[in-house]
Amino acid sequence: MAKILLGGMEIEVDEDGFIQEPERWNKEVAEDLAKIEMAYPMSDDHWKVVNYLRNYYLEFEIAPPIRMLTKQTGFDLKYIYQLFPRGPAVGACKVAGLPKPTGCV
Amino acid sequence: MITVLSYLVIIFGYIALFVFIFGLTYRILGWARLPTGFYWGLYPRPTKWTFSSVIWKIFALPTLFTTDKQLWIAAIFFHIVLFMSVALHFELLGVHFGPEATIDPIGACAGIIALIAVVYYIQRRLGITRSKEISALATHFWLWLLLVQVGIGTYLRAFDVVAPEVYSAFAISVLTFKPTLPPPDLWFLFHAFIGEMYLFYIVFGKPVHSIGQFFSQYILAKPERR
Amino acid sequence: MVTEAKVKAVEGYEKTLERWLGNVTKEDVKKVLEMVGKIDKLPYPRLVKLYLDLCSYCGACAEECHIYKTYPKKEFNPAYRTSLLRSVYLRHFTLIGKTFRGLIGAKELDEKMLQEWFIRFYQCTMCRRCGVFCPFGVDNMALVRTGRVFISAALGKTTLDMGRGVDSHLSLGNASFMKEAVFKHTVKFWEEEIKEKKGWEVKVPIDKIGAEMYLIPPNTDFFHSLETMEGITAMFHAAKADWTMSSKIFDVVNYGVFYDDDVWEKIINMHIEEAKRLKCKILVVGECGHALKSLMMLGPSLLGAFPFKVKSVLEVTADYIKQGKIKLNKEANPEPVTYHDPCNAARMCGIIEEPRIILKVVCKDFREMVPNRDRNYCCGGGGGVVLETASHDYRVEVAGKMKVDQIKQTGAKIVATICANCKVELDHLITYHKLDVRWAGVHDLVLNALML
Repeated sequence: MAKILLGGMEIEVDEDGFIQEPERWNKEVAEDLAKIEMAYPMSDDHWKVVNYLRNYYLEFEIAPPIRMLTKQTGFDLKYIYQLFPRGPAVGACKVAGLPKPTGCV
Repeated sequence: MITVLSYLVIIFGYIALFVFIFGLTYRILGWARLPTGFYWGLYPRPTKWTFSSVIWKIFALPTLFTTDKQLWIAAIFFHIVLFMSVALHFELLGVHFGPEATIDPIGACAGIIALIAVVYYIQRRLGITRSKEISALATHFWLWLLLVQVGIGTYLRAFDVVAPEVYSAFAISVLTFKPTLPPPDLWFLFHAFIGEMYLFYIVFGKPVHSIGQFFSQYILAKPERR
Repeated sequence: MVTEAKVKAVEGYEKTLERWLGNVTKEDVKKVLEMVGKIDKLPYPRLVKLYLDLCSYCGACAEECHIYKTYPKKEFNPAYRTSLLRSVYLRHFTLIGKTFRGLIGAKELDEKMLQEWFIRFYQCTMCRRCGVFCPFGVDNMALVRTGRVFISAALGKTTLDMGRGVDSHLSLGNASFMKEAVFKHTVKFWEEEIKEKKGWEVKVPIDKIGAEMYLIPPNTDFFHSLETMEGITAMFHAAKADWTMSSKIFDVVNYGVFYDDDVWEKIINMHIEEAKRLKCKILVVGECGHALKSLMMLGPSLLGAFPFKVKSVLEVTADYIKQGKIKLNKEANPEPVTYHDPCNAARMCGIIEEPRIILKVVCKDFREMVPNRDRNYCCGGGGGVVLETASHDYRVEVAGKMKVDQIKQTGAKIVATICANCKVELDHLITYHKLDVRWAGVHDLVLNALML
């Protein structure tokens, strides 16, 4: 486990760069993570995805189904890949401060 | 030299025969006693003709035909002539497959085809990367030795160096545990000695595939237990 | 051609694998060697012993390996990969290996060799294509798995995300840290989806004791491919089937298949126990490859016959089509569709014709990939390789390259498959290589075509 500087704070991340202290996530942390994930600068659409993931996570402690994500945001999978080049599971979830999804995701 | 080699052929012959018979039995029992456990078959799988499909796979090598046609041709011819040559050696024990005049030319022809196949095998091990990079020194040794062995055998056949009655009498004397001295021909003695080495090699080396395949192909073709 | 990108991708993943194994000590080597000595105690000793004895290093397997053909280096040669195990066995457990050593290719197991084992065994996608083509019937995959089993049993080490998935599975009953509330919420969501798309009021029966069929999908489908779940649900609805799902065991994934027998047995017992509790007649495996292998083939052969049947959902749907129980409209899927045979479903379990029966009645234009069926190439993510985030570049650049070319050749716009692993890998391949194709589960297309 390593610590990296995100949003002016030292935050612990796992080996794929997912933050391990979800409660310390904020807008600045997200933007720094977005830089790593080639999703910077973040547009309203980026935030729409990130906020949706974040809210779902706070309720269910897990990432939502991709289908739910595309339906609630109105973006298709291709567009989400444009926003987050590493895709919804690795790219978007990381920026939204979720732990890494496990399983064949 | 000839005397030393003669005794060597006799003594080593007994050892080789012992190792061949008991070693091979040991190996076969070794496979047979282990449980198959996990069902590990492969589709498509014969529904009724498991046995004939296994035989087909072993003797016709249908998948090798798709993968590498050159190797398939070499393998098929090599094994046919190899079995022919080995079978012809039963005249050692007095079993004759035909008139004396035809056996030697047939044996010599088989030898020449085997030579070509072995040269191809060696060429492949040296020239084709995917084969070369995984060949151990021992593999090359046995292939080259096979070249020598088949070469001598073909020479013995072609020039009818030793009369069959003479070496047949020698072989029978050894097998009946009343060994007499072998015919004093250097090439013959070399041929016999190398042949005994191969009896060893069958048990420990790559030729076990001739027997082991029957087990392994059956595992893949075994009817399912669903 | 070996491009720089490929070299980088391979080196990157190799470094990661090395790190995952970590430092190995002499003690570790000894522990692993002890496991190698106990080959007879494995659940499948005969084939391991045979495969160790029989290979003659002819190189036919390399010609058929999707990884070697994309990147022809010695370390990717299937025979080399398994020779790592073979040479160690020779050196330590046979008389001639002890005597002649290097001359016959016997090698000592040391720290470096153990590292090599970990890297090479976890680079293989365990597709068994080389097993089909070996003239001696040697199945390299069985040896690769055995090597993984040795390392896992002796040192408890495996790849990162596979290990996490198993941790989750042993504590929560599924591989993705998913709780019952999430499952129920997701079910509700897909019921609504069916209503929107089809106008049907559908309820997913949950924990219905005595239902004829108990469906367990891989829970990847919940996250990654929910349309497949919608399709299966709608299909059961249209056929008026008596079925159920469980609120406890809703994940059929079993990573033990890839690397560890104890883990495998613990997880498959969860599935068996739950099927017994629900008193189902048929356990229906969703669109998943390795779970089929686990439940159809490995399970009954080691644990004895189950008191229920195991079927793939593909068989169920194909049967309904044959019996005329469901009506389908080809026009709903007008785009050209091709089908990717998952290795586990096709080569291992013989689910070969069923998806074709289905696709031919739900799609207007169905095209075969070449080669196909049991000779199909792996997607590049098999054997648990796709589970690792770190393996992405290796998968898209090397392991999945053959698949990309195959898909391109068909000219299809949709590539359908029936394995969750393959779907994720296809998703990555399509995105990375910018193919004008989309992936789908077979039941995604069934959903479009279903009529009441």
